[in-house]
Amino acid sequence: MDAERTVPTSSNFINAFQLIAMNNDLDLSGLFEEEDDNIQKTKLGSKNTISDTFKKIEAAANDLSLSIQRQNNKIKIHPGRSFARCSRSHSNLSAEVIEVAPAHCVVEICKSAGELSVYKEFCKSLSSLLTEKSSIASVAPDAADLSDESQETASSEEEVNGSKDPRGYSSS
Amino acid sequence: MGCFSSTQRRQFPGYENPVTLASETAFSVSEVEALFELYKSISGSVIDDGLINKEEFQLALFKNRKKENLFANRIFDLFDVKKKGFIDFGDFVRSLNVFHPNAPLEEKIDYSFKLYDLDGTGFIERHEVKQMLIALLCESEMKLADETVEIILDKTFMEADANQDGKIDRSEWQNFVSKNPSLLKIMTLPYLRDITTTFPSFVFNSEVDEIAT
Repeated sequence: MDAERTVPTSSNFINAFQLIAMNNDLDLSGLFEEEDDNIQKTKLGSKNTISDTFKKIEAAANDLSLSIQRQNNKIKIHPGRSFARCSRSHSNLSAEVIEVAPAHCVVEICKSAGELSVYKEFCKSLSSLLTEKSSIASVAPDAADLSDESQETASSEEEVNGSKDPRGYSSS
Repeated sequence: MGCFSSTQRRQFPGYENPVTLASETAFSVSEVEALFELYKSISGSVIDDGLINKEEFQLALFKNRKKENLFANRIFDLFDVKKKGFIDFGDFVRSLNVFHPNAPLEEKIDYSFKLYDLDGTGFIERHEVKQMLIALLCESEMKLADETVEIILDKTFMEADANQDGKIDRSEWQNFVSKNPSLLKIMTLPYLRDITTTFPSFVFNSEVDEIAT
C-alpha cells in the first residue's frame, strides 16, 4: 500500500481516463445534433504551467483587442475593449484550460455563436503563442506532428531557453 | 404484430415493437417512436437497408463517414450487440438506453468498463489505456512526451489498480469510478431525456395510440 502514498508531487497529473473522456469522439451527442456551423471547437496543447497558459490566453486576446473575463478555469472572450458594453454581445467564445501534467495543459477553445473569423484568428494567435519557447517565435504552429519531429520536441523538453535551432522546425 | 402494419415498418429488419422496447428501457413509447425516426434517417444514409452499418454510424456521429477511429469503432462494436456488423433498431434503443440519465449506474459502469477493455479480456490493461491515450493525442493537437504519458499511466494505475497486478478488473473499476464519478460523464446523454422535444415533428407521426406517456 506504500506505493499509493508515494504518488509524487504529481497530483497535478490528470488521470488517464479523464483525459480519454475529453475526447470528443466519445461524445454521442453528435447523433442528435444537427451540424451546427455555429459551434466550433479546437484543442491546443500547451507546454506551460496552468498560470503561464492563462497569461498566453490573455496575451492572445490582447493582441486582437479582445477583452476577457475569467471564471475559474474558463476564460470568456468578448470582442471589443469593454465587456460591459459587450455583455449582451452575441459572441460566445471561450477558452478552457485543463491541466494534464505539471507543465502541460490543454486549451479547449469553443465558439458557440459569433463570427467565425474572430474564432479563427484567436486560435491562430494563441496557437503561435503556445508554441513559442521564448519571445522568439521559432516554431510554426503546425510543425509539431506526431512524427519524427516529435522526437526532437521531446528532447527539447528540458526547456532549452531561448532556443533557436539553426535548422529550424518550421517548414519553409 | 397488431396495429403496426404500415409497410414502411415492415421494411426494417431490425424493427421492434415500441411498446416492448419501452417496457425494457427508460424510454416511453413515444420516445421510442422518436428514436425510430432518428434510426430511419441514420440507417438509410448510405445503404437503404434499414440497418446501421459502421459507415452510417460514423457519418451520424461525425458527419463524416471517412472518420474512422478507435473510439468510434469501439462504440460501434458495443452497439452491435449481436456482433453481426450492423446495428438494428432494438440494438440501437437498448444501447442508447444505457446513456439515458435514468439508466442504472451499474449499467453505466459495466458499459464503460467494456468500452475501455479494448480486446475484451475482462480486464483493462495498461497497454489498452496507453493505446487510447495515444489515439487521443493523434486526434488532437495535444502533444505529450512519451515520458509524460508513462507518468500519467503510472498515476492512473496506482490509483485504480488496487492489487497492483498491472490491470484493472471489474471491481477495481467500480471502486475507481465511485471515487471519480466524473469519469462516467460520457455515459450520459442529457438529450435522451427530451428526445421528443428534439424531434418534435415526429411525435405527431406516431402510429401508436398512447395511453400513458
